[in-house]
Amino acid sequence: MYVLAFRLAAKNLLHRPFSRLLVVVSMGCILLINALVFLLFQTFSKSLVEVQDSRYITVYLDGAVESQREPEVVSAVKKVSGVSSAHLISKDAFLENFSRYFPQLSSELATLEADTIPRFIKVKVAAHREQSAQKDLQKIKGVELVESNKEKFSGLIGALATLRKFALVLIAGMSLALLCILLNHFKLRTEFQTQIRNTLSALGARGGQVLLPFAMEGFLEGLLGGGLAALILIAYGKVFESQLNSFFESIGYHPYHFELGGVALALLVIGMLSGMMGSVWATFRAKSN
Amino acid sequence: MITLAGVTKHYSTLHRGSAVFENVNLKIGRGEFIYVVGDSGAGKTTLLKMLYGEEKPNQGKVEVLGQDLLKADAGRVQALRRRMGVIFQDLRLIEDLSAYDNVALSLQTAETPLLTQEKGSKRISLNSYSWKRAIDEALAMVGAGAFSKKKIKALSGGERQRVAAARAIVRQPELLIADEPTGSLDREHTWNLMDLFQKLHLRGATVVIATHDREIVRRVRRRSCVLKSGKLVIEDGLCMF
Repeated sequence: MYVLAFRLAAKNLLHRPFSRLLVVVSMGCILLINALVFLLFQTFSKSLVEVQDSRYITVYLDGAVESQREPEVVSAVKKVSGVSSAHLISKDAFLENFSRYFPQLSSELATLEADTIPRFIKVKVAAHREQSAQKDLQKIKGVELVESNKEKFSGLIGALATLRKFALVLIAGMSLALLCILLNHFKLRTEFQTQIRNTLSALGARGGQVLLPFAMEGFLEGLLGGGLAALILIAYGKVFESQLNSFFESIGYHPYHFELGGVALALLVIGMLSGMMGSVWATFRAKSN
Repeated sequence: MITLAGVTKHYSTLHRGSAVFENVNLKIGRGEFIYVVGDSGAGKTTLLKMLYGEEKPNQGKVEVLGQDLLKADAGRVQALRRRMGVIFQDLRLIEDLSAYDNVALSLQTAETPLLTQEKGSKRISLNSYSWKRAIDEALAMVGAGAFSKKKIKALSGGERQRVAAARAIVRQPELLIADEPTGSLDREHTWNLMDLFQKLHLRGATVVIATHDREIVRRVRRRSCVLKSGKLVIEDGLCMF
């Protein structure tokens, strides 16, 4: 049955070739756009995690705190609810870091009095506990000032979260458009397809046997559409990705690397499944009517 | 095997005068060979369609192979069709497939005890070799072996009819229903096909043939019923009305 069903499906595909080509190309384009939006979504998600990781609270130590009391203050900070980590940045460590990032200013900094160089604890806090933790940290003996860089990142976090949602909505919208195109396309059955369905039914074929050639037809059409999208994506990966990445790196942006092979395979599978389901649904509906 | 009891069929509830049948009763036993004879438009095709569940009567009971077709759902009707071989009046061949593939399609959807002569009543499944052999034999028996690889759309009316016959007999069905099976055939092929139906009948199949060709009925003498003005009339046998 499979060989004959495949033959029928292949013959079906050759009917109305222009319309088929149009559907395959539309399908390929929509799947490709979806894949690109998905990659953007991944980029936004990774950036969001990175940005959220960059949020911390700086706890400045009082100048009167002696260096041997510093670990005591750090352990008090760690005990505050919501605190996940606390690292003391000593004067020496601060100087070392400073001279690493701003080597041209390191000699000027060395001339400053040792007391003007801050000692602080870099504290990571769970986002939902940030406000209460800030208040609790302020109460610890030996703490002079508590500062959060929350405001600095809140705009960026909000924007990334919105972009992620927008990407998801776009993917859903494009998927819906693809579904509409496929269902409408498969609904327009040719005389040949009606002939196959009626003949199989008259011969007593089971429901599955009647649907099989149409499922294969949708599968093949989806394979072509998904294959087209996958091919373009792989071609992009081979030809343009390294050039684009080197361009981004030259302007100081380090793009994330994605495994395009996996995305291309997903495109192929999604194409085949959506084509098959669209065709089966349309045949099932036509059979019931 | 087949029972029609008080069957009435009309196509419009508003015009009951246009009834195809009125209170038709007919019994066909297992292994019988019967003709349904009548002029064009007498309702032969409608009667046959009722036997394979494509038409339902407005009144009465139709029982085929132990299945009450009025009560049967679509799945049961399909299961019933898998046990039959039908030569449709409009042939219902798939134009873009070859004669061989059309016959193969019938075999693949069938549920009949094939190759029973060698294996008694035990049902065995065909392997690919015997599958091919069964199809080739069926095509050869109706004289369609020479064009088995040709697409249906490239065949003449008579050739198509022979392929449709091959498709019905390849299943070795319990019940063979043929609607004007010789309408497009020349005399030689007509008698060949009638011989084939008789062979099938001798193997135990029940054969129901609708025809307007009275010469066939005269030459191959079997029980026959005539449809006339919506009534089934006894001509040569056991029909009731």
